[in-house]
Amino acid sequence: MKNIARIIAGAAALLMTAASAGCTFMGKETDSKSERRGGYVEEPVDTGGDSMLITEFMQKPDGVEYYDVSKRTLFTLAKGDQDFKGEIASIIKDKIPTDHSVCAAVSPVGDYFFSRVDTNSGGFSNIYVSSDGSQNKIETDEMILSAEFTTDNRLFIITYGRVFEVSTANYSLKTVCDTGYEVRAFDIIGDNLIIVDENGVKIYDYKNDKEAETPETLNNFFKNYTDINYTGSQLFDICCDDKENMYILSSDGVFRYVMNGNEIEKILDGSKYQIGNEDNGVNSLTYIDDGSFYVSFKNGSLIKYRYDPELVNEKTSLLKIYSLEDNDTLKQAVRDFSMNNNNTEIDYMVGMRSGMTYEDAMKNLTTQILSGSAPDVILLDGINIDNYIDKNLLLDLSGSENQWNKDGKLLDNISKWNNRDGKIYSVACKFRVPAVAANGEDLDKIQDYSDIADLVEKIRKDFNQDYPILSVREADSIIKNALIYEGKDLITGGDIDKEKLKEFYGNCTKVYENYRSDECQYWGGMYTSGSKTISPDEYSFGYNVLQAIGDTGVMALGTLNSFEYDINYATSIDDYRKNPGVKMRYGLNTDSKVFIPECNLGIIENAKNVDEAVKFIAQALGSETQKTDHYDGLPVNTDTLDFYYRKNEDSQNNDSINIYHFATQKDDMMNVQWMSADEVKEFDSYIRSLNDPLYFDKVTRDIIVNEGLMCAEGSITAGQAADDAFSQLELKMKE
Amino acid sequence: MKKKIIHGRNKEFFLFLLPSLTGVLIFVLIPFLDSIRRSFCSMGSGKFVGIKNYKVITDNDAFTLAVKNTTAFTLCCIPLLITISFFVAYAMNKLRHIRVIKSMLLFPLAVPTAVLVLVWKMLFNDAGYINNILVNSGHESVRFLHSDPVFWVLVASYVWKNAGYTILLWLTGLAGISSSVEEAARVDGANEWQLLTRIILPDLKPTLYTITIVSFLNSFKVFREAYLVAGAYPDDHIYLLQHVFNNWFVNMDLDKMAAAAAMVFIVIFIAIVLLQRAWDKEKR
Repeated sequence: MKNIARIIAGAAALLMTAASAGCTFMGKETDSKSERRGGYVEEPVDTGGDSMLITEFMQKPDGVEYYDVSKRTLFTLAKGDQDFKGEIASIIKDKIPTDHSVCAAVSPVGDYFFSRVDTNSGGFSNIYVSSDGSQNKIETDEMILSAEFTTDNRLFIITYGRVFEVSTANYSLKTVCDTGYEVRAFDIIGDNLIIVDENGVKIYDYKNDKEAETPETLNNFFKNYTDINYTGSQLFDICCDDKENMYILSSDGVFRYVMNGNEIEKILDGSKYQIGNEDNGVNSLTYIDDGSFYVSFKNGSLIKYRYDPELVNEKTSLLKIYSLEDNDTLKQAVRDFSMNNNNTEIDYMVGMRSGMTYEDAMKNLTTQILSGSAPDVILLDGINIDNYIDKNLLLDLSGSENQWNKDGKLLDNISKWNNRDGKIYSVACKFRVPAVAANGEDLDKIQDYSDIADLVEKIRKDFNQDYPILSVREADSIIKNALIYEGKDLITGGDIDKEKLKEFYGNCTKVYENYRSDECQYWGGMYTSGSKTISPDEYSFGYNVLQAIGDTGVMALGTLNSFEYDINYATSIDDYRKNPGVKMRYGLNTDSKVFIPECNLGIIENAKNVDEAVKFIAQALGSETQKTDHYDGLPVNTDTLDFYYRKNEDSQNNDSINIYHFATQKDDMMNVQWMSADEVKEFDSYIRSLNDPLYFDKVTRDIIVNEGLMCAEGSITAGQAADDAFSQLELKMKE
Repeated sequence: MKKKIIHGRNKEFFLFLLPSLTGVLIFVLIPFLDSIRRSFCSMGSGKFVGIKNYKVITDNDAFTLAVKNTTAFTLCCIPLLITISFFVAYAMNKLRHIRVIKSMLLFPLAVPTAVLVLVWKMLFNDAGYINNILVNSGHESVRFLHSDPVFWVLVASYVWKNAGYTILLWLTGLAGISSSVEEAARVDGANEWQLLTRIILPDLKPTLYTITIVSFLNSFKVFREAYLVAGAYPDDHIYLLQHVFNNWFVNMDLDKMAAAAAMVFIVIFIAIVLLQRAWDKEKR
């Protein structure tokens, strides 16, 4: 009996140590995986430069066909050749009118289907073009969202809520099945129609005319995406290979699913390729025989992902990168670094992903650092940088400057804003510049935010128009926006100025109460410019400028975050004939040298991979990575700035944008030109003189904004808001 | 011979206890000892800094404020809870059919903290129900959550949430008092007050000990309510020790946190030892 007891106790004790033993085995398994060969090589296809939206790939014996919506033409990519070989299919070019195509489908026998919207009337029409050139209209009550041909030349179309089959005999519609309202993907694999909507996945066997059972694995996979805010644009695309394996494209990557299997395999990691660049927006995926893919993007680009079985995929080092929130510039740097350093595995962690709070994220980060698994590179935006420096958690980057600033091409005053006695603990990859636009006379009077508040109040009294004076969507945007201009004065040298806080809240409340009348009908909303959809926030100066020049009594606040979407608008307003006298100025007043450093990167003191971390920072600051405009700040690399400055040399780079006049309710076009040489000179000289960085950690900013919000909405007075914010900030500092 | 048998048995007990002891060792004792070690080291470099961290926290205004508030809260709410719940239990003990009431007493414990906090906000916010009533009846509104009253709101919340459970503990204690002793006292001419002070209360000392310890430990849980109502930086009056620990952890002030944890441990340990001693003395 005693022996049995001893054996049981011994076994129990052994079980306690099983977990640690398991860790060792896991490590070995990972190592063996990392020695595998094979991977995808990203090869951009030259589509002629001005493509807008490429869709509908079709494999043909002589190559892959695709349809370019913007050119309304069909092109063929020669088989095995990554370069573009455009062959215009005359049948399409000649017979499709120059209106906007919504969707297109091409059959294996050369029939075409197009659904088009008349950009003038807003009406839509659908046309079936047979291979012999004959055209037939297809009447539908609703707009067609997507269409697909089967291998036996049957055509299925999907509208909001229903799937139809088009009869090729008389071009009438026959209802096949019902679907959800938000169709996110539609394709045909084998005998099955695959429909992904807000309810999940529906599989319909069109040959037997009955709904098929949806595999649990597939349903669960798509359910993970159902929480994503659906904006009407496609989130996925699906396609299949000749074995009817399903391939799913999303911004997370490309996934493979063997029908009725239990696993969905990620075969291409989006975070390491352009697929993950949400600014591009994935559009369409097609599989080609050699295991490669073509992926088209909403910005018109087309990329071939060629599978290279010999690609050395051995990961010899691991680089851990941490950011509190998603950051587009950082993700771009991760993608570029991955492509240039195939032997480095990147572990990119976002602390506040999946609804995690700031505190939970910071606690996780603390645990990581303490447990010896600290990230190598850390994005410090929102983090209390001083606290990290005081605790010696950040590495001094001055010693490696010859690597990340090899040619001395960075704007020193901005990128090295965190220089302390020659030690550099963080470098900014991007920056924002505050700006103001208002009627010329009013603009001259603006010296501080209280002048802005007074002006908004005056405009409201003078005009009382039914459109807003400032384009603001949310009340807290006013407080966040005011912080851009007044933030420097609220906390100076670690001391909180309570009186300034009170005045600040008073001004914010004045703006909130007057920026729109009770009858105000118009609100700022999401807008599309070029291929980018921008949701205006407290920084969106360009969008606000477009509103300001539309009507009298409208002004623009915010920061310059991009050449294309802010500076170009702001510098083009002088030439706009209907401009009611609005002028723009860099900075709140003529003496202002404030800038907001963004994408601040640092290296953790006890990082395990300092060399790669330095290389990564060099990549993030490099001219190529900085060229991609994510609307999150201007580049600090002077080569990149020159690249943008020189855009004015080619008039083809100029554009035009729609201006809506609230008062007359009419549209008008404004020519948007790149900065002239004089404007470049002025701008460049201004940004080189900036010396006043504005940086708030997330906690401080949230405290100020939350109290401001309550004050603006009338729950508390400006004095009470200042008292509360002061008390909280004081407590924070005391700790 | 006897000694030998006990020695042998101890060995077997040790084997059976080994799994759980290992767990306690790994998850409690070693981390605790590590935190004591960290309290003498700096956060960044890990260098030994002596008692510097202890000096830092005793000079730290936030920590001092938190200690003051936590002590005031504990000293205020525990006697209040014990007294109120005892008298309610004493009164209820005289009733016959209290099974349903007993079940209902546990309801506050079943209310999720998030719901409680929502009710708090609806009642005590600057634009909440109570302020609406005050303003509509011609009074000035009171900033319940941003001034002195917030402390009492927190005390009331604690008492409300824990009273039911504590009453049940008292009732269990009262049920354990022999009715024959009470009857004998009555026969001897004892009045209600004498019965209470001479018979019932002395017999309830073990229950009082349990209730005091449980209430003391529960008093730390009130942080959840304070945190959900006012966040990491609440009004000065309800800024508790857990706020400091929480914020220090978020800000990676682990050296200060370790020193403060060691100090708080010593204080709580001394309090419990003193309570135990007092109890043991009474028993003798």
